[in-house]
Amino acid sequence: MNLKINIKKRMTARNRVFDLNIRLEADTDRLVFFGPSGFGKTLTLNAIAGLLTPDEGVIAFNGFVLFDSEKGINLAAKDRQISFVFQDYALFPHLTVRENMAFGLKKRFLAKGSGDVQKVEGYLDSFGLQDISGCFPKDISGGQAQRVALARALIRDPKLLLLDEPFSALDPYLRKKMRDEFQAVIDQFQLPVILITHDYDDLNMFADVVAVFEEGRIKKRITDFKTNKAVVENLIAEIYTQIQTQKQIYKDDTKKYNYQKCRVPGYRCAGESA
Amino acid sequence: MVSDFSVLLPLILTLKVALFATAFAFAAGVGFAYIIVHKKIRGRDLIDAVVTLPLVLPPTVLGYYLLVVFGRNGCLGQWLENVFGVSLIFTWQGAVVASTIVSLPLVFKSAKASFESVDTTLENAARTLGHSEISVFLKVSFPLAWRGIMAGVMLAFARAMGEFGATLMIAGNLPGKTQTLSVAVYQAVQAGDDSLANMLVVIISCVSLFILYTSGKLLNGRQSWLQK
Repeated sequence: MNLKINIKKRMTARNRVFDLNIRLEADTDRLVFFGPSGFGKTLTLNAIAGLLTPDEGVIAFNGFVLFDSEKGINLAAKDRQISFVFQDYALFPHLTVRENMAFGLKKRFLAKGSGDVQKVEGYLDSFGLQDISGCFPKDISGGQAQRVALARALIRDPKLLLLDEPFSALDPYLRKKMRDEFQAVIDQFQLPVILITHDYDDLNMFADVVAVFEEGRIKKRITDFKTNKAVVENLIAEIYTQIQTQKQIYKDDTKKYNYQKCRVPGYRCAGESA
Repeated sequence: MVSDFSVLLPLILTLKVALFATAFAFAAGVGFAYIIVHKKIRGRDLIDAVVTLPLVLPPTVLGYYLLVVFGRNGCLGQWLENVFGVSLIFTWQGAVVASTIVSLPLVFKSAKASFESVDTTLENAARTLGHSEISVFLKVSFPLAWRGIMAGVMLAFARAMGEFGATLMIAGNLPGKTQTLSVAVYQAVQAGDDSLANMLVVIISCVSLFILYTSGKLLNGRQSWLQK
């Protein structure tokens, strides 16, 4: 796939301002957004999916313009043919596994006896979900929920698959298992994928091009991750050291603040002698 | 001696008025709530306040407003008279309008809270799965908010059944035509007809209790996907 993003978006919440300013061009089927939480990875993915409208800029996928503020183009999410696997899977709680999977197929009202039913059955079989097809999402395990979410996204034959930390909700053993499964499925479907993670193991398994995020922008884009692992590792170490330092400063400040608060006459901190 | 008609007519009229009023309040309340929760329009807070207003205003004040608007000299009243040749004053349709306005906030408030509690990620998931905004509403937002909305609808129905003040002002007290149960109770008490009043009071209490109980039971049975 060829992806071009050049967008700006200002988010405000009370007195906080977050500026998203993303410039990225990538020519790969395996793109990973990497970086700590709160740096704009999910916002960028939402913008690609059509769930977030940037203030200005352009998003183009394989030469097809999805968003262009100057030309007034903003394709609705439903028309982008981009599937999204959300962090907590976003399975519809009021629908069974089978209904969840059929949700993205067209001709939903006439589905009985048509090719769609066979398609859903085929996917239920190949993802090993036939036994739980009548269950509601609350009754299935985390690993099964992830399979359902992935199957639901793939059954529509999307042009691009977006995944937001797909393995983060799983325990470490299951994570490894699901990662292997996912790898096999993606190889089978030959689908361009953009994946968000802050897990180095995901990078190792999956990445071709890595975009490392830093506070609303892309700090560095590394093409051919496999031969540039050392560069990425250094970057990651750098970012996390920065975060640690910031946390330390914040902690110190909080301590200082608490200490000053204790100076109010008549008040003492717990454990402080009079 | 209490005649059958003096009980039956008000009861049928009350149920008819309450059903129509609940249906209108349901459509308007859900519509307003969805727009306020999902559309970033100007004056959302003002719409919210205006739609909630009937909850706090005395019913007589609402009745007066309705008279001003739907009366023969009122703006909508004149228009209805000129275009359709109808007037809402002293008709059961007028009672429906009064009950709708009074019960609207109950549907609106609970629908708003229910729509707000629906996870936006689920709505976004439906959008990325190729669903239009109407489809997202019908297949995700509404089914997930259904329980809370129905709780509001039940309250609205009960409220519409007991509507008195605004109804009396716009529809009056015409036996067999606009006399609902609550108005009939008032008249029976005024006329010193205690046996009729007793019977009407028992009937309105039993019918209301029956409706609330059965609808609550039906509602609880529906949501198997929620029960842990």
